[in-house]
Amino acid sequence: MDRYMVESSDALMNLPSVRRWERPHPAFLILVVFLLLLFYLPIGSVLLQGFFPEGNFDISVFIKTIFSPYTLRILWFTLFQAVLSTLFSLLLGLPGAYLLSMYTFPGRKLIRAASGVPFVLPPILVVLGFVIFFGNSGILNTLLMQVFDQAEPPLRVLYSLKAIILAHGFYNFPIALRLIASLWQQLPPSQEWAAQTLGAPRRRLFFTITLPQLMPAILAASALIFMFCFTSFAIILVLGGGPQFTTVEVEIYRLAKTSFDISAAGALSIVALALTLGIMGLYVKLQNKLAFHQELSTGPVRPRTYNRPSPLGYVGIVGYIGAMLLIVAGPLLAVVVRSLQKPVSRAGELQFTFEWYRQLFGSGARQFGRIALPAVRNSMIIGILAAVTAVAVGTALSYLTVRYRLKFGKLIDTLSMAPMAISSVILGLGYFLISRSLPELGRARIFMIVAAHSVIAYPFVARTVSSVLKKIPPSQLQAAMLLGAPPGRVFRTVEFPLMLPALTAAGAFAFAISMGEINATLVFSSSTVTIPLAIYRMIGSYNFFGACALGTILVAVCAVAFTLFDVSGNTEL
Amino acid sequence: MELSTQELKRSFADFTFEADIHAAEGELVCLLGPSGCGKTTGLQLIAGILAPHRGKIFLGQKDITTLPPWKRNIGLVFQDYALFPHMTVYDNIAYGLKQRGTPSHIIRSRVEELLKLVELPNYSRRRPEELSGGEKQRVALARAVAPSPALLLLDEPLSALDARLRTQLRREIRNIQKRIGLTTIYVTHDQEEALSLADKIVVMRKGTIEQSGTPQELYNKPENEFVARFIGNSNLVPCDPQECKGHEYYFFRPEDTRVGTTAPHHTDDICFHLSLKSLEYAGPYYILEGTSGEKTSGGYNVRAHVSEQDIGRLNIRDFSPDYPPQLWFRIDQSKTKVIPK
Repeated sequence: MDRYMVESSDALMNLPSVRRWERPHPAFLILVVFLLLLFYLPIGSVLLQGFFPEGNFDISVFIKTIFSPYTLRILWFTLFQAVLSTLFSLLLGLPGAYLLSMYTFPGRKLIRAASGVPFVLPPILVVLGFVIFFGNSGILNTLLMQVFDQAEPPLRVLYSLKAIILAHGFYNFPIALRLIASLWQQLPPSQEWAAQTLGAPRRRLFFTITLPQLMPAILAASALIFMFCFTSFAIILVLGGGPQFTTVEVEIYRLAKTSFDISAAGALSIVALALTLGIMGLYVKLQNKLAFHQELSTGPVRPRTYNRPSPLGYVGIVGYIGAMLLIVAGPLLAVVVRSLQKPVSRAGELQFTFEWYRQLFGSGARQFGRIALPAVRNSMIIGILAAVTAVAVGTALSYLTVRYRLKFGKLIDTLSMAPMAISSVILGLGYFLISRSLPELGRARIFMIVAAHSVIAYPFVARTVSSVLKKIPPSQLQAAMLLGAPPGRVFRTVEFPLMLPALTAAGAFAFAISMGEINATLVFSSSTVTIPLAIYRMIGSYNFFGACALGTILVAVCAVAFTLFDVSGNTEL
Repeated sequence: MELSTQELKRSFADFTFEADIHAAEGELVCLLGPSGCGKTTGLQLIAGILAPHRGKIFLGQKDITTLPPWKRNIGLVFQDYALFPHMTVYDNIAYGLKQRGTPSHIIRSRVEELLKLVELPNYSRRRPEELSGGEKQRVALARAVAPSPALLLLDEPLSALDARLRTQLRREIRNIQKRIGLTTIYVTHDQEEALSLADKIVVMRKGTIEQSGTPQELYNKPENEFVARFIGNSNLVPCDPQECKGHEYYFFRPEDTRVGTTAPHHTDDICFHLSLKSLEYAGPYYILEGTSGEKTSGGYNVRAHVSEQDIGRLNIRDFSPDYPPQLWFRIDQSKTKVIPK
């Protein structure tokens, strides 16, 4: 399950598209091989482990695992923290959605832009930022201790449920904000006026007209956020800080990699899959309803006009922007700032330094110098290869599903988009299982990581490209054909140039996804170190300064990738 | 109830609304004008969706200038219908009554009654998305009149519908309005709609009133070029400087213009000797256009509606544009009006 799927629904773009009646070129069969080998085989082997623990069918391990009090407790906690996180995210997102839908004010764009940051942030950076910002000797506590002249840190949130909820809220409130705001902005003002002239004062107007119509967006956002929090991995792994706060995904990882109880991990994966697919189904349903509601404008709709806020409104806006900056920018800035500081005395005084960067890349004998350099190299190689693969696969897939009328088209669509709904921890576990049966992987390991990353990223590419392909009016292609261009040349001279910005954007995005990926990578292979893995290790060994330096590099790489993504004109997120 | 405004004014960055609107009890007043003329602004000021920068609005004897929309008791029908998509037809129509705390059995009978009035009985459980455009507009109308408003406002209610449905619905709106005796302000850019519906028409342009009066007054006696051109088809011929004071037009209608081949003798009619420019079949008549020369060099065109027999008599059916026949266009002096440019 990945967070990059939050887009305006495809159903909104129900433009007629050219469907060619000819058969697709046989080369498209490579897609089938790709999907079977790199996605369905690993997932299948995980499922098999659950039911065939020792190679023979034996349901008892499965039953024993999922009905043990320990598993039930984990399941319960997983659901519990997901519900709390969802509510908290809604609470953070709703005021922003309200402000964006009602008012025009300086900083409107800032809210929108800032709310996009958590979307694209690798989870390991969220974790690191939280430790550095909210930790006991973190920046916020240090500041509070100085201001209020206290000897003890006033905020103790790390390694607790509070930390998990806070991080999930930070990570997911933009989903609530954006989904709700985009629906809210489309509610025709004439409905509000109609209700007012019919005698409804403001408050009643909100509860009888606005809120009921926002419900689809609120529910869709809730389902999605719930899903992300349910399958959340890195945040729980680090910020939960122990068995007390373990969720299903973390437990799968622990069972497979620490207890070596593969069949139990398989059994738990089956439960997790069933649950996430259920929530996913619910989300798709809600999303369709949402798209339906958005289409429901009953006539020529007057665009919404935004009011200038009242003085009280301004207080709200300033407060909200302040809070956003604190929880969005705070942790990120903390990472960058910490990477440039070093303690000079026992009392904790700090001094500006480049020392951590020197240690990362220097040839010095310092410990982490030896993992940082390979990590950066590995991440770059994996990122570039995965982006290229994902763009090729995603583009081919989207061309196939959009441009051809296929038998079982809907089924093919669902099967090919399935990686979106499957947690990357389980995918990683599948790769791990396969690699066990292959002797002597050696450096080939890195190519399996590339495969895993491209499986995670290509559905996003396919969605981006599809939305562009569907927007090309069929008349343009027909015009090109009538002017004498055969299908191949139509593609080269008309479709491809129109798709190019989307391809660049999707490529940048796929690269960034790969750079930040930790779940599948950590579960599959802890021996091939990538940047997120190196940061995870450094946090584990309390080397926060080094982690921050490497984290800053990751921030910079992702920022470049997303600027490219943004410049290429993709505003789908 | 009677509506009147006093020195009403509202300014925007690029546009100022400054006009007073008056509608007598039970009257249907059309605000007519091209898009951007301020007619919708006027409606929104009256409804309370916009606040005026100056002036007062009276409904009956009561000053409603500062009342919020939900306390004005004014019904509003929107161009995009603005039906609540999450409610059934019944709940949409009942909405205003519920806000007023009407007991539910009265609401029920009132909604039934209104659905009958707009000829949609048995529609109460439908949802807005199941309705056609015309049906939506009927529901919107029923919803607006359900709480028995003191004043009904309609904002281009038919412009999203096709032509045939438009004429049918406007008749129904007029019938319902007359039967209830509801004072109504109707905004439209369609002059034909305004002529057929209104007791009184207010022609607006750039935020101010150009002319107001009965449809007959506006059609027969336009006071300026804008109104003359906007309502119906018209001929505007620059006056001979010797006869008029200078910048003035002769205004007359094509249907009052007769065409002949010979010069009329001893007549008080106004005559023009023009060369034929075009001949167009329009069904009940032909549209004949004569020209005195290129417009750029001070020429003008005159159009006349001519019957089938007259065309035969004129013998111009197959005229060659290269050698246009010269024709006499004549208008009874009583059918012309001199208006300022």
